Amino acid sequence: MADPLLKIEELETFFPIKSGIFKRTVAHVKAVNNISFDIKEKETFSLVGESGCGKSTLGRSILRILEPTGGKVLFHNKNILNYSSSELRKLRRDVQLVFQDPYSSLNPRMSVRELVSEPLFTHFSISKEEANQQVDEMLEKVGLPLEQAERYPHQFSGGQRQRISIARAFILKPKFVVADEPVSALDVSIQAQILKLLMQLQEEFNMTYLFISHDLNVVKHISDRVGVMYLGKMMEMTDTDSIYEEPLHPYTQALLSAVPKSDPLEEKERVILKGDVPSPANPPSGCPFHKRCPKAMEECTTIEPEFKEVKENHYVACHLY
Amino acid sequence: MSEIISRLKKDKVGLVGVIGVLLVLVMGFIGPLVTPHDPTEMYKSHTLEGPSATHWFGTDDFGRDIFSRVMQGARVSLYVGLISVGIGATLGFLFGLIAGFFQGWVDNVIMRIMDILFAFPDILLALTIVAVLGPSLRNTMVAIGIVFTPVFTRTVRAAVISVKEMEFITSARSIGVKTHKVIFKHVSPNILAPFIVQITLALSGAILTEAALSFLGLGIQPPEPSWGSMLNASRQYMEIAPWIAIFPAIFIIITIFCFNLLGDSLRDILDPKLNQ
Amino acid sequence: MDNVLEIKNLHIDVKKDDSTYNVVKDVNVSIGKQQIYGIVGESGSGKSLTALSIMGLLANPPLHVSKGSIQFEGDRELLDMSFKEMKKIRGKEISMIFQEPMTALDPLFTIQDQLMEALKFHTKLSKSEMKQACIDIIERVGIPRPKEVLKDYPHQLSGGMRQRVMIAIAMLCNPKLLLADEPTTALDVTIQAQILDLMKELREDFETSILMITHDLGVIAETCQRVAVMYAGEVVEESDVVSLFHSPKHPYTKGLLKSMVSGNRHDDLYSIPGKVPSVEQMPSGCRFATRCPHVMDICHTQTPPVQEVEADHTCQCWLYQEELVKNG
Repeated sequence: MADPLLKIEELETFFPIKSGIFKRTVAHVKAVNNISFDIKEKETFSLVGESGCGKSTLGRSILRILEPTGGKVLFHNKNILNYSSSELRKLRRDVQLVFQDPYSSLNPRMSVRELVSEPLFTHFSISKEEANQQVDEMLEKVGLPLEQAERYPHQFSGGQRQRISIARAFILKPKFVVADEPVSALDVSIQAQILKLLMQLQEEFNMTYLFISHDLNVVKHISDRVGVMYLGKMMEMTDTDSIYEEPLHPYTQALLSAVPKSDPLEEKERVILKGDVPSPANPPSGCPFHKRCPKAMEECTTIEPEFKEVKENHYVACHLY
Repeated sequence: MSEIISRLKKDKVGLVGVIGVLLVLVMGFIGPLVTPHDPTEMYKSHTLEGPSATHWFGTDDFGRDIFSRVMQGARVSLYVGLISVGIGATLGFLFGLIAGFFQGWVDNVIMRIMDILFAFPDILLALTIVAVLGPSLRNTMVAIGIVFTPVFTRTVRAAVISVKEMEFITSARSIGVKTHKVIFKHVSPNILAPFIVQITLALSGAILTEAALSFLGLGIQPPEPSWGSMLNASRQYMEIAPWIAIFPAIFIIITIFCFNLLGDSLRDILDPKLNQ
Repeated sequence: MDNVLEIKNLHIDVKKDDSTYNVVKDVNVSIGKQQIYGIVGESGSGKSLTALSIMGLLANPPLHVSKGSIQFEGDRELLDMSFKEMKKIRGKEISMIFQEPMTALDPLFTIQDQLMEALKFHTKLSKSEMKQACIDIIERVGIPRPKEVLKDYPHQLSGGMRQRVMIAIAMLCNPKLLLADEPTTALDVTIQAQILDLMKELREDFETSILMITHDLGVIAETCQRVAVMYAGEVVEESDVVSLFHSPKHPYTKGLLKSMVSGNRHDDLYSIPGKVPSVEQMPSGCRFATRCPHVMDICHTQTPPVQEVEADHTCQCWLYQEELVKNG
């Protein structure tokens, strides 16, 4: 297989917790804690996990929308964390972000045409006519009627707004797109429409996706490989079929068993986890999952398990393996 | 622009505001040219006379024609109001934008200075500035402008901070939009509503502050009239000659009212959410 | 009849710019004792409005019930009750929990204060009895360290814990009916599984009926016995849960089931084309006609009648009407 498009090495994003009058840093929230993985060209890599696990922070750190505090992000074998601000601006042509909330992610005072053409005017000096033509093409691709191009975001439904967001992110034909929960805020019947659109565009533009979601059903459909995160750590990573058919980490198993069944007659074995996700500001010692793990052992409380390949292309951080 | 006008046509209240503001402005420009009497001439035998056919709004304690003085004063009051609020709003907008957008130490420095300015009563601060710069119309406007800067800075800063947290700002940054464009294209248009309301509020305040300064002898120098100084001068005669107070007061109220109406409708017009 | 709640012919209208639009049309729902009854629908389907009208909490104006009846325990007509009478029923005999517990809890009061308030209003217990009741209920909903949690403020708890507190407040007076409006939508899957489990347990222990309102067919499959599918203000299909999942009748239900992104990962994703019509532009015939794959001429002009297509399984669609006509 070809070289990976993106190599993430020991990436860390820590947020300082400040306290006292002098705002001294007393501790860190380790939102992304020493994570490494590759994303291959034209692949869809999905990150799943519950709220607070750091998946969105990881996605934004990779794009340097949040500044990572350590590690490397190699895009085409160049570490973008060393990029100057002008290099970074150029990089923005190739990497884009699609947001979860179709309401707050579009400037309410810009028309659809202004929103979708902004990336073009930001990166190229092109005439209005050329831009308009490209916008029209893009709107057609995402399924928005051209006669609505002069309207403002609030005149659209959630699903249509997400189409506007996608048009805006894709008009530069980026190579790599981080889609941060792009369908979570949408109605069920609309979710599938948007997922289909994303898959179609990926095919057409040969794009690579990092798809972030809390919904395992959605992830199943769109991804080639899946990484499961918990408290800033990668717990398990493998191709999509193995994660659903043969989950190794107890957390992955619990996550899968918690998905509501799709048929009332289905007999489902339930692993109901006790308690809540601990605060990322104060994670447990040893394995971050040990306090909720049904299979926790003595060593889990003290020694942090190593993230290692236990089967071919199947990585797990757990003392069981 | 043509769109704004067509929208304004539909908004009856806003239209009243626009027409009112235009009339007041016309009065400010043309009024002093068409006064029936010289606004500073004293008719010694006609002091404190009520409204009559010769003196429509009556005369003041020096026997000056109040109608003529109101017309003349319109120019000064509007001039001072608009320019000083213009100064305050511009400074406040810039400081607020910078403080709110960049935060950190810049924010701290700007806001502490604003806090200090804010701590003084308006009049006292204006008085000090005029005293330092020397009394004149220009310095009065500068002083009032500075007095109003902290209010605008705070309003703008608060709005910027809330807008900055919106995802569309992150979106603009992730597309690679340059910082100054993010500030002027994405942040600024979304803080207009509170800003415009603040302007209309400040206008009335500015007209009244000018009045107080004039009264203390630091604003417009007598016998040159302004609405505020007329109002202030009327205080001693309030019971025997209320018309001295009533007419300038009515004009101040009408002016402020029209500006408020205009401000309200501008805010709505500039908000795409309220327009289908 | 041993139904706890019977909604008949419920119509809700909304006033907007001097015009009146219909948002809930002819809803009929009967909830049996100890039953978990589901209403499933997308945003704008009128499912939450239906629940709010049971509680007498519709925002009036602009919303109001224009027709229909809601009978509680056979003989009490909720729509005829005064505000005062409703207040006695709310929280005591019928309680409600919401999607976002943070907005439903008062941030300025401790959990104990909020529980005590409900107790003071609805019971005549002594102070120590009330305290014990608080501890008992908090323990019952599976909150560890109840005594400490009672002293906490809502913001100190996680989303899952807050929802448990909401449930505790709702169950405090042992209500006969619990309305749950998207109770797990804001929660993570592992927490959702905990909460759904808890609700099922409580239904048995407290002999309560539950009206579960959700957009998620998975939650319905997980918890409910009967289910009504709502679309654009109408119940388009109503049946027991197994029959609905295994032989759905209405094209909308079929579409919804197919678009549940859960099946085999290599299956094609299905989506219902188009979008829900807005209240101002409601089609005059069948409200689903604009998106229906089986649409016929009659659908555009006339509202289909509600038809019992199988035993205890009703559907509002011309397709089945036609069949009946053909068969004689």
